[in-house]
Amino acid sequence: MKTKFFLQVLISAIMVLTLTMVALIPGQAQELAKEQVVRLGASDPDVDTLDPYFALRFSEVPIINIIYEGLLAWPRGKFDLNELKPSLAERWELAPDKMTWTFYLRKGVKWHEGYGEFTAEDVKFSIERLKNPKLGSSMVVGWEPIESVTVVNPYTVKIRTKFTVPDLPTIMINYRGGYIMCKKAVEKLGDGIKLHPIGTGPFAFKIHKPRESITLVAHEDYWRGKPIIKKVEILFILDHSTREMAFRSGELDAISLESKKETIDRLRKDKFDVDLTSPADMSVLYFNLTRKPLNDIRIRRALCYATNRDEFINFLGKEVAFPVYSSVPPWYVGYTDKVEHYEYSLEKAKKLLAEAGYPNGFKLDPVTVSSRSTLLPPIQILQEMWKKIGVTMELKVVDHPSYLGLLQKDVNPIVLYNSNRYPYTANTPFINFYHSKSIVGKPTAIANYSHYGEAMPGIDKLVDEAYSEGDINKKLALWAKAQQQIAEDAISFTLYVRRYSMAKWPYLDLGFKELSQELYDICETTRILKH
Amino acid sequence: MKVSYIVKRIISAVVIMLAVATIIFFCLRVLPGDPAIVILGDSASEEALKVIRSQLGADRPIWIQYFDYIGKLLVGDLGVSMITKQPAGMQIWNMFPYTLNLAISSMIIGVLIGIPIGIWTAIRKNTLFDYVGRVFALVGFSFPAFYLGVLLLMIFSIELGLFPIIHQIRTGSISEHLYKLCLPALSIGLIEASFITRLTRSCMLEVLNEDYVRTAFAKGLKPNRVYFIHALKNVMIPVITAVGFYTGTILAGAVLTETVFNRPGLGKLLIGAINTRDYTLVQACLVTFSFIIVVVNLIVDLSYSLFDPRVKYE
Repeated sequence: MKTKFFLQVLISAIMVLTLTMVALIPGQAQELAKEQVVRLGASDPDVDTLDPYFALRFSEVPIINIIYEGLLAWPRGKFDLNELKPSLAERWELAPDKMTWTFYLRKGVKWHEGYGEFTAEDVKFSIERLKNPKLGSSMVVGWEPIESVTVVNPYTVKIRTKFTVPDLPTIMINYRGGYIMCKKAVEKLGDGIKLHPIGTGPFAFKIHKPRESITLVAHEDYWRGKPIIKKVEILFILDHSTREMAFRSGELDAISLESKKETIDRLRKDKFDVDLTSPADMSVLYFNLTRKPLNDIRIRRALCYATNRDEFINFLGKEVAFPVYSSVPPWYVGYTDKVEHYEYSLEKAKKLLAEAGYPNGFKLDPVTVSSRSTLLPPIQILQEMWKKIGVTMELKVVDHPSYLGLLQKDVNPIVLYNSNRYPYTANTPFINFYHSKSIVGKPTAIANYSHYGEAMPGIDKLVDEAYSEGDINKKLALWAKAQQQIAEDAISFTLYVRRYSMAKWPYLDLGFKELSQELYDICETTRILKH
Repeated sequence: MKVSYIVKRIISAVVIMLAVATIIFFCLRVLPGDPAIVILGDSASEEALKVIRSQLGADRPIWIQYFDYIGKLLVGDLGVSMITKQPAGMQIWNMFPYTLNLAISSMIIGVLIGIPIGIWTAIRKNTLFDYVGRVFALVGFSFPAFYLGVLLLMIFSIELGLFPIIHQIRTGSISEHLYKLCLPALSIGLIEASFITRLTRSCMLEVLNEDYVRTAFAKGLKPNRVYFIHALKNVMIPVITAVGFYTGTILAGAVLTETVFNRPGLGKLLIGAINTRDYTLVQACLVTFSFIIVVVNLIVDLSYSLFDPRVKYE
């Protein structure tokens, strides 16, 4: 009797345990499709390179991210510097001198295509390759403080910095210069590595068909576990409508979308999964301080007051875009919104114009603008807004590569700049857009279109001080001060952030929630459910 | 005589192509934009841009770049892509069959539909058939190829499910190639057919008013013999010339058609190269396009004698 009771209890316990486990692992009980192949539709015409230190295109970044890895990693599907996880490095520590970092590497990580085991030599090689001026990578920005990389043993590497860099791990991630490359593969393939990547990630490069597709296959020896998906095909489909039609017909499992309210609503209505992600594009308007009358702070402030962020948000859709006030993206370390917002006020704008001697407004020099859908409509909206205070401007529309070339030639009185901003520290936007050494036309130019720091005193001192400041709180305070000064001086006017959007069939189970990226990230737990 | 004519035409074609290559070279350099910015991104430092420009050879004096380019072109070397570092010739060679297939098949569709309709609308002038044919020609002529492409996709792929949306070829089988060629070829071919219809009709009407046609009818020849043996030969010369000239339009149409149907091809290659300011690849694509047009025109010239024995090559 006792035995029977014991057996009943045991069986019940096993059943409860099994059901609990099934419930705890979402969707685990669901049946998988026979063919585990994912087809993604990307919005670029092709990839130009898959060298992680040069890959910039929308479609290149997600591909690189499933082939290569960094010492640290973002959490799956989310770019957040506050949640970095160990990846190729199991742990790391900072020596008491505050300038020597030791990274303890994961053992047994295999490179694709039989290139052997990942070791400290690969880390040293990758960092030195990135920092080599002959390579000419723009991703070296942020890596200057690294003085030396020493291999202690195959699984330990020491990185010494020139001064205290408390946030060094934030660059050792699976992004831009943080990807680790295979020394043997780069030495063997030479320039060929650009279109034949060898990484440690869950999927390995198989074939690139120019202007058509890239095929990746599962990396069977992947250290986190064998991927469920056997093959990933990324098809390059430039035309938005063709991409959407192919997706609807089932020829594609997921696509990147044009971030438009009507596209998102249409797909949601038809029960597709649509995800909006950020960090994304931040649109900023820069005033050229060398052009009259923009050299007058009252004029710049008047233009800021005459710019209504809500109109841009209404145009793009409230779910797609949100207003931003600071010169630093909200997801950057060091961001503050405690800056002058310049809330929309035509009265204030008109008053300032009158004080500056332009009661009826003025005509700006012609403004060159890119024909891209992310740049042309916003500047046309701006053109209409400023007409209300009598400020007119003639637009000269050119193709995007021409626009970028002309910006470097300093042709514009105002520059509308819209770019993808992955999380970094506030130092990056300050250096790129506001430091005097980055003024366009200089040998060290980057993207300071306003001539801030030359046409008028800028934030160089604050930025330089923050750069070498070891105390993180003092650093944050300096960065906040710099943001406030930029806003006070009305050097730029941040309009909004426009999220990226993508859609997938519900049967594509990513294994995580996609909150970042421009195209779905496919990982070892991604699977296709029976449908 | 014919051989010396061909040699002369080849020499003049080489001169034309060198002139075209020179114009292309300098026009591209006048355009704003910098391949180094495309490679490194718009927030790259000027120092990094300089390194890349030096690697690309874009920092050399323009005349040195020009003579280097022409020198290589004369020995058939189209250069190396500035962006992908792959030989431009190889990239074009890989894409060429796709565009050639599209061009030839659309031309066949255009000729097979356009000439018969053109002849019949001329013969049946001012009948219902003529009106329908003329409306077809007018509508087709007004349609941009890419718009027709989207319409075809919506009807045959989305509504009827007969064709795929993505026209990329996954296997090497001829049947798959032909299957995936249908809609793209139709989208260009139908427009070409309308153009040929209009031209054939007007030429046929003109020829039917000629004395020798009236004489042929007066002699009691059967109408079909008059139309297809006597009249058609004379209609064909302007039609062939127009079809030859239309090659350029087909290549231009292919640029958009390849994008809409997402087919690989020279058009997509060229658009991508322009967007990335890949000067070498743009030059290579345009030289290839001009080479195709020159060759087609040569073939058209030589084919005149097949239809009109009075044509002599000197």
